[in-house]
Amino acid sequence: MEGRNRLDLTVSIGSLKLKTPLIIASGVFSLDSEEKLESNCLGAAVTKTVTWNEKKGNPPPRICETYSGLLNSIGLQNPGVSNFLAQVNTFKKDFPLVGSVGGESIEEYARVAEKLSEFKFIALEVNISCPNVKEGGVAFGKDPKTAKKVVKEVRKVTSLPLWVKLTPIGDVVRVAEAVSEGGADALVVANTHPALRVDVKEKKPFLGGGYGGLSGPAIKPLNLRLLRLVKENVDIPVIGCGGVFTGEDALEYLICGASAVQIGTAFLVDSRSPVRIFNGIKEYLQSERANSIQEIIDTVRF
Amino acid sequence: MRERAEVIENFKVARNQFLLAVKAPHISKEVSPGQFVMIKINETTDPLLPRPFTISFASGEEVEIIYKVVGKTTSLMSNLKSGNSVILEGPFGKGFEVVSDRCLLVGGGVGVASLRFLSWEVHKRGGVQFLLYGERERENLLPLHYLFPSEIKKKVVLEEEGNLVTDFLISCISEYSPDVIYACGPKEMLKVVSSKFLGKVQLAVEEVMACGRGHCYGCVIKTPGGYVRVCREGPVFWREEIDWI
Repeated sequence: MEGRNRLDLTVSIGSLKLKTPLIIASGVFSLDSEEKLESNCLGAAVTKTVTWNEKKGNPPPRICETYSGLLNSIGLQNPGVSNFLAQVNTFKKDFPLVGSVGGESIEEYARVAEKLSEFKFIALEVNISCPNVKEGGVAFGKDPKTAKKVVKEVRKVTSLPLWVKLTPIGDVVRVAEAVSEGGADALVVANTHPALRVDVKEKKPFLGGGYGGLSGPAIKPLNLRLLRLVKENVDIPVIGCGGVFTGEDALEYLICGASAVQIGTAFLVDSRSPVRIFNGIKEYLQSERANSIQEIIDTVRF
Repeated sequence: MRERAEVIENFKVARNQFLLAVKAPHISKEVSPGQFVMIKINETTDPLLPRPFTISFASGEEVEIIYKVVGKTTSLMSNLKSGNSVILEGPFGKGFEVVSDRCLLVGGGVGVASLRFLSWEVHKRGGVQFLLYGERERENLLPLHYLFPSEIKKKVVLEEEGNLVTDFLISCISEYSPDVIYACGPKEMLKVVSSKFLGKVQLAVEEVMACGRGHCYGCVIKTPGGYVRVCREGPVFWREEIDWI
């Protein structure tokens, strides 16, 4: 912040206020990594998705690179909700945490959400969009009826703000409308794209899990369009997610109506990427002679 | 620690294999044998991910890695000139535990480079060591006399001459009776080394990584207790920790 030109970077997602519009996305930040995050530029971080019981995850290889993209099939490996909460308890954080809820049944989503609500998360993000699990995940998230049911049941057991992370496949706007009716407070648009790469020598998929989820710069224009479509059709706040690597990427989402943006793959590539993105946004606001980020949110003209 | 490191030199040491020396004072000070760094050679998104490389040697402000050209990143790396710079992050992972001063090092292919720093460490302690090194063809052979302490005994095995490094394992063990084996190389080789020696075995394993920092759980290996991260719980494991399928 420089002299008289004090920039206001705070954003609101419904009733929730964040210090900055940048949020670390689910899956790329582990509580047990022992890495210190650049907390000054972060509004929040979403934890890895947790399920009721431990999940072993998918067989390796779990990672494969594509043109400007990252294909993964982790399969929601996590220690189960009790062990996870033990990690949360010992985690020294200097930024707000959002808990990510997973499950293989509607009932499991609700049980996990209820348990997470006992802890100091500022919101819960319901993951109905993981492409790498057989039950739950995309199977729930691409069907408006099931998606709505999940959110309705989770809504009953928690008073925390409820974000729903959507899958980019299927009729995204219909699912967005459905989960909004089900009681979601905000929508995250969107998770990875179901995708595939094949090793031509072996004539087999590169990933141990077969198919994977594609993230990174390769998918940014796709998710940006989806975010705009959802913004135009649904009243609750939307959060951009997909391929944010630079300040300009984040600004595209914000200008299209995102209340905040999530950083996923960029954080895996570079631990300092949030700082770079944050500085990019500040420089832009200064060049636009804007005093606050609110002045640029949802200002796209078609 | 993330640092922009200046390239000191980058030269061919064998067919398709290069030695990269960079100035990275913080990493050089912290690193121990078997640990690795993540290298990103430019800010573009293709290649997107940084790549993991074991530190092959560290001294003063310098660290060295030895790499084989296998893909886009390593191909671009082979063109680096002194004065260029790369982005280095690390050191990461759990390296070798020097538990004895009588050891056998078993290296397969460019994997032998991951044993080099360890070898110098053992040498410094006055330990006795034997190096068993296997390659496919003579042209691929790294210059051991230049890379490893000259005093240690070495056995080189060439596949093109009809032998596998593991064929000489038993004779090396009985001739030399080591307390511990340190190995790095292809999975098949590591499996055989694990099964043929009853003493202590430490294995440096490789897996495709995304972050290298313990976040993504992308680089896992199967253990009796489930999948664990190569970047954090490894890359060096005790034989008993790995569940070979």
